[in-house]
Formats: sequence, C-alpha cells, structure tokens
Amino acid sequence: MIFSSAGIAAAAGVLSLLCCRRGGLAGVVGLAGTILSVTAGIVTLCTSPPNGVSLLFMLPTLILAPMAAIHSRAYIKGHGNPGIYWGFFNLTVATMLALPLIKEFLPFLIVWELMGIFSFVLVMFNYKADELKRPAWIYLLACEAGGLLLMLFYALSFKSGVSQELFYAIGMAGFGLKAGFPLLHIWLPEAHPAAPAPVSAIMSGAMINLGLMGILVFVFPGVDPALCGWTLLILGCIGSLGGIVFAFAQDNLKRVLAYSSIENIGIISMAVGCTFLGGAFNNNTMIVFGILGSVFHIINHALLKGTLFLGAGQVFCATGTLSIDKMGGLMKRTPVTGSCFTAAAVGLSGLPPFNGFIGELMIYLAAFSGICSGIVQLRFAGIAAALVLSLTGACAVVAFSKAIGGTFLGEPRKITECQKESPWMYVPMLCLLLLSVIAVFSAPFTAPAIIKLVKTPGLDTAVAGAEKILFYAASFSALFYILCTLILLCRRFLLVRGAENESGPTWDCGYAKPSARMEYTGSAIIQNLADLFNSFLQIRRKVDEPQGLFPSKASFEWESPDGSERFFWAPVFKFAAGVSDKVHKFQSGYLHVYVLIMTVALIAMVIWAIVS
Amino acid sequence: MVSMLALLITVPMLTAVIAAVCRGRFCRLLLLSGSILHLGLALYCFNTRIDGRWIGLTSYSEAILLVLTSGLYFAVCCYCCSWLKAEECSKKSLWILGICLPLFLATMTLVILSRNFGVMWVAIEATTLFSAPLILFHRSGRALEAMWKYLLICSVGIGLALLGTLFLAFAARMGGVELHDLRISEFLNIKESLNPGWFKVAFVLALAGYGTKMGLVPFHTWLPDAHSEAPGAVSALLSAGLLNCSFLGVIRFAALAPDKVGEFCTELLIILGVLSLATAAFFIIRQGDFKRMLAYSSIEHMGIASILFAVCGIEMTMIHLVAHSAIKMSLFLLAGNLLLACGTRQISRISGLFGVMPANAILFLAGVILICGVPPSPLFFTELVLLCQAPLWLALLMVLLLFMVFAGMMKNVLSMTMGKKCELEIHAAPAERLIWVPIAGLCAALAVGIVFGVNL
Amino acid sequence: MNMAIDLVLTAFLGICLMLSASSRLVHCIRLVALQGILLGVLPLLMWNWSKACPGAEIWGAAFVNIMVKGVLLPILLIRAMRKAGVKRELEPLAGYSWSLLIVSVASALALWLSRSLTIPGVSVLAIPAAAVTVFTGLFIIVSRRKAITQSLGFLAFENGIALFGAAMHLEYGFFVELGILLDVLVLVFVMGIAVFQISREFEHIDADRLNLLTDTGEVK
Repeated sequence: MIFSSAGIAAAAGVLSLLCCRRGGLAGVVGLAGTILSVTAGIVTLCTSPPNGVSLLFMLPTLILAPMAAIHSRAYIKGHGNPGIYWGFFNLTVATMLALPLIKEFLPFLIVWELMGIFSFVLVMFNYKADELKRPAWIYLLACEAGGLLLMLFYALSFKSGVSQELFYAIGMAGFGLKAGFPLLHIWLPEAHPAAPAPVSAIMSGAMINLGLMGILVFVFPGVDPALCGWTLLILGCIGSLGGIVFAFAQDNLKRVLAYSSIENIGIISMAVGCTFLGGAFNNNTMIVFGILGSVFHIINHALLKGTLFLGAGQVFCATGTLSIDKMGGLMKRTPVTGSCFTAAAVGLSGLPPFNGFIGELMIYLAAFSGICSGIVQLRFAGIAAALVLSLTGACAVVAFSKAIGGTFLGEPRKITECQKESPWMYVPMLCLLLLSVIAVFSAPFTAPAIIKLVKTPGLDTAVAGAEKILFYAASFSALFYILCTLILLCRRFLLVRGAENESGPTWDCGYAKPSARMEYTGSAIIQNLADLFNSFLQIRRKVDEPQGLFPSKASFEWESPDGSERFFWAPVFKFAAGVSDKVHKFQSGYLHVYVLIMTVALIAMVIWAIVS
Repeated sequence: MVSMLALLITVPMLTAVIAAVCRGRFCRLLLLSGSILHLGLALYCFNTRIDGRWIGLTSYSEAILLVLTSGLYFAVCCYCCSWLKAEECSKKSLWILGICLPLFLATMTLVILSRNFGVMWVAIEATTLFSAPLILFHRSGRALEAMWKYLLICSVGIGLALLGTLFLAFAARMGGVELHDLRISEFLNIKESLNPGWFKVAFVLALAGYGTKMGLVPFHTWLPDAHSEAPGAVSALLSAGLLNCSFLGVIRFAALAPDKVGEFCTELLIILGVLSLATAAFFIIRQGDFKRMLAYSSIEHMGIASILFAVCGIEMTMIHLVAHSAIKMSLFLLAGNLLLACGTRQISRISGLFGVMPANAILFLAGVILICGVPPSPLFFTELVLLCQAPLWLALLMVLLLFMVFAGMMKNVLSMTMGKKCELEIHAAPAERLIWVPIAGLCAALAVGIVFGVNL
Repeated sequence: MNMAIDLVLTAFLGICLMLSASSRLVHCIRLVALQGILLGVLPLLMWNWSKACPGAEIWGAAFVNIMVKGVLLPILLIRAMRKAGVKRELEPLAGYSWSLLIVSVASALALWLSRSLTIPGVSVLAIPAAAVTVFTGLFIIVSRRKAITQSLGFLAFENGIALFGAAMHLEYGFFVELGILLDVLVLVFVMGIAVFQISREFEHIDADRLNLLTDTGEVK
C-alpha cells in the first residue's frame, strides 16, 4: 500500500505515453495522474507514516510535483510532444516517490537507474537544439557513472578483504554524483539549464536530495559517526563556497540557480555533518540543532528553489532567453513573477523574515554549540561551519541581487518583445511561497515532532531550548510581516490619498540620449567580487579595445566555465581521447599487420603455456 | 531422435537447393518458410537429450543456443521480407542470398549439434565459407576488401583451431588413452588423464582459433570490417548468431581442462576478455561509423562473456549471450534502416533523427542504452553478478571500461539523434516501416531482463 | 619404412625453403601441390605393411587427398591466376633472400628445439617439418603482397597442420577428413572468385593496397 502513490504515478505515466498522439488527452491524463498520486501519497503518509528519513525525503517530491505539473501545462505548450513529456514526468515522479520507501539495495539500485533514464528523457526534451547535445550527454554520463559506482558498491559488499575506506569512498562517490558533491557536480550546471523549467525545479528541489538520502540509508550504517560527520562537513563547506562563488559569475539565469543548488546541498551536508559530529561526541544541543537545521533547510530549499526555477521558466517563456545580460525590466511586465522570484531569492539567501533564515539559524546554533562545547574537534568544526555559512550567505545575497537586478529591474537591454505571464505559471509560485510562510509559523510546533521521530533519548532539554528560540524567531518574523503589511497599507491608502500620480523620466545623469543598453550588466554588478575570487574562478576575458582617441567599435566578452570541468574532467577526457587515437592506429587496414599481430600473440601465448 | 536433429540440418540445405534452382525468384517466400520450419523443429527438439556419434543435443545450454539461433534466423527472415522489397536488389544478389543464408543457418546448427570435434571444426569453417558471399551483398570495393580480410583471417584462425584439436588428441595419447575418433563425450570421460602440457598448448591454439571467429582481441581484426560492410540483416546474424557458435567451441575445449590446468585456462580467458573489453572501449570512443561502433560493441560483449565464463560459469554466460544476441540483432537491423534512409554510415554527417525518423531514432537510442547494461536490461544483471564474483582489480577495471564504452556510444548516438536536421537527403518512409522486428527483439530482451531480475 | 618417412619429411622442409625463395606463381602452386601429394602418400608409407593390408578407408583417404590437393586445387589456383592476369610476385614485403634466411633459421630452430621432444613411434623430423611448414605458410601470408600468394600461403599452412596429424598417427575418421578436404576445396574456390572480383574492381590484386577500411583518421 505504501507504494500506491508511486504506482498511480507510474500508471499515469504509461497511459500518457500510450496516448502520445493526442496531445490534449495526454496532458489531462498526465496532470490528473500527478495530482492523484500526490494525494494518495499524502493520505498514505498520514495513515501509515514510514520512518523519519523516508518521510523527510518524500516531502519535497510531494510538494513540488503538483506545482511543477501545473506549471508545465503552460510551459510545454507548443514545445514538443506532450504525451512523451507527461509520460516521463509521471514516471520520474513515480521513481522519486518509490525510492525513499525501498529498503533493500538491489531494488533501490534498479529504481535509481530508472530514475536517471526517465529524467534524462525530460532533460533532452528540447532535442531540436544542437547545443543541448552536450548537456544531455553529460547528464546521462553522470547518471550512469553513479549507477556503475553503486553496482561496484553492491559488489564490494560480497568480497572479502576489501578495505572499509574503499567501500565507503565508492558509496559516497556513487551517491555524491547525484547529490552534487564538489568535483562530481559538473552535470548540474549543464543539465538544469537544458531541462524544461518545471523539470529543473523537481530535479533541484527533490531529486538531488535523494543522493544524500542514499548516503544516510546505505553508506553510513556501520561507519564511525565522526568520520561520517567530518566527510560531510568538509564536502559541504567546499561545495557551498564553490557553488555560490561560481553562481554569481554566471550569465545564464538557470545556471545561477543550479550553482545555488550545489551551494544549498553543501549547506544541508554541513548540517547533517554537524549532527553526526554531535552524535560522535555526545553533544545533545549540536545533534538537535543539526537535525532541525537539515530538515528545515531541505524543506525550505525545496519550496524556495522550486519557486525560483518556476519563475525562471516564466521568464524564459516570456522573453525567449535566459541570459541576464540581455534581459531587464521584467518587473513591470511580469510583476507577479518578479515579486515571487524576489521573495524566494531573499528567503534562500537566509535573510529574515523568511523560512530560509530559520533553517540557517538552526545550523548556526549547531555550529555555536560546537564552539561552546569545549571539545577541540567540535570547536574546529563549529568555527569552520559558521565561517563558511556566513561567507556563502553573503555571496548568495550578491548572486541573487545580480540575478534580480539584471533580470527584473531597469529597462530591457536586448529583448524586444515580452509575452504576458500566465496564471498557470505564477499560481504554483504563490502556493509555494504561501507554504514557506506557513513553514515559518509552524516551525516551533513541528520541531519537537521532528526530534521525536529521531527516537534518540536524552534530547529533551535541548529540544525545549530549540523550541524557545524558534518561537522567538517566528514571533520576530510575524512582527516583521505585520509591520511590512501596515507600512504597505499606510502607503497605499493613507499617505498618497488624494495625491495624483505623475510620471516623469528617470534621472539619466545628464546623458543626451540614454538607452537601456547603457545600464549595468549583470557581470558589472558583481565585478568587484569576481575579481576578489578570480584565482578560484579563473574568468576568461576577451577584450577588444577601441583603437584611437575617438569612440569606435569595441567588445568585451567574459565567461566563467566550471572550474572542475576545466581543470580536472576536460584534461582527463582529453587524455582518454588521445590514448584512443593512438590505439586506433592498430586497426590500420593492412592485412599483413593483422596476421602478424595474430602470429605474435599466438607465439606469446604458446610460450606462456609451456613455461607456466 | 537423431533423425529429428538431422532434419534441423537438412531442411535448410534443401531450402538452399530449391533456391539455387529457382535462381532468385520466390526468394523471400523460401527464406520465410524455411525459417518457420526450422524454428518449429528446434522448439520441438528443445527437450531431447541424445548423444549420437556425429550429432546430438546433450545439455540445456546447447538447447538454448539452438532455439536462440533459430529464433534469430526467423526474425531476420521476417525483416528481410520487407527489407528486400525496399532495397531493390538484383536477381543475382537475391539468388546468392537465397542459397547462402539457409546454408549459413545449416552450418551454424551443425556447430551447435556436433558431438565430434572434427565435425565441429568442419562446420565452423563452413560458416566462414557461406557467410563470405553474404558480406559481398552490396558489391562495392569496400565490401570486397572486407570479405577478403574475413576469409583470410578466419581461415588462418580456424586452421589454428584444427591444430589445437590435433594437439588435444595427442594429449589424450600422451596421457595413455588411445582414441579412435574425436568424440566429445569420450574426451569428457578421460578428462583427467589428458597430458597437462600438451593440453595447455592445445587450449591456447583452440582459443586463438575459435577466438578469431568469436572476436577476441588480438584476433578480432576482421570483425569491424566484415560486420560494418555487410547489410544489416547479415550483420545481425553474424554478430548475434555466429559469435555465439564460435564461443561454444571455446566452451567445449575449456570443459575438458584437467584440474591442474583449470587455473591456467581461466587466467587466459580472463586476460583475453579484459583485452577485448579494453580494446573495444578505446575504439568506440572516437568512432566515426555507427556500424563499426556496433561491431566493436560485439567485441566488448564477447570479452565480457569470456570473463563471465571464466569467473561465474556457464549459466550466466548463456543469459548474457541470449540477451546480447536479441539486443544486438535489433541494433544491427536498425542500423540497416538508418543506412537505407541516410545513405551514409558516418556519424558526423547525420543529425536530428528524432525529427525525421522518430521511431527508428527512439528504438536505436533505447537499444544502445539497453546494450550498455542499464536496468531492466538483462546485461545489467549479468554484469552485476560478474562484479560480485570477480576479484577486486577486475571489478574496478571493468567499471572503468564499461563507463568508457557507455560514454563513447552515447556521445555518438546523441549526436545522431538530437539536434537540427542535417543537410543529407533522408528517405525516412521505407525505414520507418521496417521497425517491427527490432521492436520484437528489444521487447524479448526486456522480458528476459524483467524475469531474470525478479528471480534474482 | 622409416627412411621413406624421413625422406618425405625432409622433402617437406626442402619445399618450404623453395616456396620462400620463389617468385614464379605457377612454380609455387606446383610446390604446394607436391606437398599435398606427399601428404596423401604419407599414411600409406607409415602403415605397418607387415601386419595387414590397409583397409578401403585408408586407400580412399589417400586417393581423395591426392586428387584434391594434387590436381583440383592447382587447377583452381592456376585458373584464378590466369583470370587475374598475374604471373609473378615481384615486390614482396620481405625480399626473397631475407625470406630464405628467415625460413632457414626457423628450420634450424625447430630442429634444435625438438631434440628434447622424443615421442615413441614418431620420427624425430615430424614435429620440426610440420612446424616449419606452418611457419612458412604464415610467413608467406604476412610477407607477400598478392592475394593469390596469400591463398598459397594459407594452403601451405593447412598442409603443415595436416602433416602434424599424419606424422603423429592421429586419425580423425574418414568422414571428418573428407569434410576437411571439402572445406579447403570450397575455400580455395571462393578465394579464387574473390581474387577475380578484386582484380576487376581495383585493377590490382595487391592485398596491402586494400586499406580503405581503417579506423585511423577520417572514415573514407
């Protein structure tokens, strides 16, 4: 019965595939199927709740799937075969709903690989674009590499004499490929811009979490908690810092969001790492705050990143481009989307009064309790976590400022026309934001329930402390909301009552003929910070300076390709290609050489047979 | 009951004789009826176990191979019925096809049914002879070159296998047993008295010899040329049928290994298997021709089969061979469709097939994904079992090489299927009608995979 | 009869040396045919005449061997040669003096290595002669350009293998032997047709110029 939601989604998926010739019918079946399966899932969760970890990782899918489905209805209109889209959408959702509930590794691995294949079809949905060949290939490679590593992981459990470290490392690598750990993350910035926006929302908000779930369920049992904690903490620190630094240097809006997902997975890893370290050294406050931080951040990331990707999808449908430096002025043309996007971005940067702040507050408190604990290792961990978290928070604010400023504020730079925003697209965003506000206010009440699910004794005092802090934070947020609403109401009704609305030109600093192209571009907004981090980013600049004394033609190009791809993976792949080219010379086409190789090999084998 | 088995060989020969007399007319009807008869007979004889002087059927694996080869031939004949209509070939080509295809089937059946090393050798050599004219179907300079290399390299290889058979008989004599003929069951009885030194050399020669036909590196050099120049239907039979029969020769030799020599034989099989897998991986990566890519994939899977046989035993190997045959047959038939539609085999010149010939493109993508060992393909399960039972260095190496093969194949397939439509003139309609047999093949493989997975 | 057997085996060695040094194709075809005839005669020479007369099977096998290898195959090869219009192998990949040296060294090596292999009932020259014939066959395939010469090399290779069987008293039954001979006959027939087709398509039969099918560089 617990697989009922997955089953319904799978059935809906197959049905949609079968009616792929009739687009309208497929759309209806698909949408209905998603919503039915999510309802079934929620009902099952309420009646017979599975254990805490499964529940936690099913929630993002249950929340995001219907929103993404409603958004898809308008997004894919005219963009391809709806039957195939809805079919594979539902199949992907089915696998994502089934995975947290499977306890044995071999069925888990099969469904895991199926999830990769079904989502790959969605990633390559816009197959007509030539530039999509490489992202689709990289995504498929990452899925298969993860699958192969997990096959090896399974196989190693049957062998004797295998070192624990190798076993652990392969498991971490296999699941880390899906989660987006540093060095293994290169598929994320490629696949998310390539996939349709609702699919990116689900992948970012729900699918990459499943990598962490796999680690928690299959890799960590039996391993020393301190080792688990340190690994996740270090990977989290590197991932979050690296992710956000690359995020603010990107020009493609969805790439910014993809790198931000890498950052957020890093933050979640740090939180889980703090929990394990706390468990290793029996520091109850650290455990409680770590658990609360990770749970809240997973849910918050799902809600807010989902909103951001859906917003990016609306932007793409309205303007036809995702390049921040080409857009602008969308706040006037797509006001609802713009406001939702801004709200979600503010939340995801960890600024109060939104739920992102609550989650990060818990993680900060976990770090501080580590610093205050008096054990050297916990102190070190706490300092590292707190420093990295604050730095990434600051960089996140910069990255989203650039994204919002370049996309929504000002005037359009290069886009000529803009479609109207569709209610199918902004209503899911509003729902998600509403859920995030509810999450803020329900945090003090859900916290004890979460800790009770963990079933570890002796955490009561810490939980009481956490409850109090959350209550204060929620009240502060409530106060802030009420204040904001009052100010807005005042401004709307009291202050400007009776006054006339006048419109005039924006101050243009004295230029005779200002144009929208003179605005700051996204790259200009973050230039200072990019220069600061340039040794890490290694930005590629191409400058074509104007010659002579008078203004003439000039151009400036810059891009920030992924660091690990440029300096690690690309050389590795190039090396393999080089070896392959040399090996190709053996099949030279000369029959004599072929027979000579056969003879030599035969003589070698005969000599070995005689000698051994 | 031996007469029933003899029918399995004589019915195709009769079909060939009738086709020779008809000189190219009724070719499709003859092929189809012959294949239906053969499949019926093979299914009827599936459970008979008999060990005759020349031919017989003694084990489950041989019965499976027999039904597999017969089923494969039936599927290819069904495909040929529509393909020959679309291809518009001359009467002479049809005449040669009608004679050589059934004779090819007859000799492959004889290999499986033979109970005598000499008869098996004669049958494998005969398969070379009757498949050579089939490679020449398109009558171009390249096909001619492929046929010449095929003839020469395979004949040299099989000569080595004959030498190996003679050394085997000599090993029996040096062990003190006088054998009057080369019956397999007699060798099995005196297994332990075989002289180890002579047996090792015999095994090396037999592995080199039958390994040439099977496609083990470094004896594989004819395979990419022959399998890519032959038309799709013939490549399907060569890749999915003939390689299995040659592997049977290796298996029969390896089954005779006395205990002291067993480890040497497994080591040699593993080394050649790993070499095949590695060579195939490096050749697939920067491959420019999609049929050659499929040929190298056959080499890769024969390498994996040989490692499977050395490490896990015969049952897993049989499942791997069955799955590989079904999927590879579909892939080669689809490649034939692509060649028919696009007129070129070069991957760099083809693009955007999803828009122009969606059925073929989707099936080709699905087939390549299945053959790379993604669940629910049965190859996933056999490779998983192999990883579980192999030593650590072999498991790590295999994971790396399988990843390389996957990367290379998917890059080529995605480059062909995705993207804007290319400038080539594509005649999609005839190719889109030829999809039913490949669909059947892929579904059969999926069914095997699901059944096997559920039982695991 | 031991002397007769040793004479035949020495003749094999001599034929190999001559094969490696000759450029006239008709001469080479006749040498390989002579090898075949000697192979047919060898079981009769090795038979223990004092015990009993050899049965019909032995006579039949000898007759079929001599007919196929001594008469039919040369006819097929000479016909293929005439159709393709070649008479000599003029520029082999390994020069004729080098070929002679290599085959001589191989013979010496084989004779020296087989000193330690004493098998009762088998002449001491048997294994070296067979090994050298096999080696010569492979060497001719590797070092000669023309397709016809490569077929000849293959025939010498097969003769070497059959020599192993015959000289070591191995029997594989009449029907199997017939099957093997039939295979070789059909193979040479198909090879002859292939050579003719190659000469018609490419206007040469140099196998080393057949290198369109390659993985190096651009697909042609």
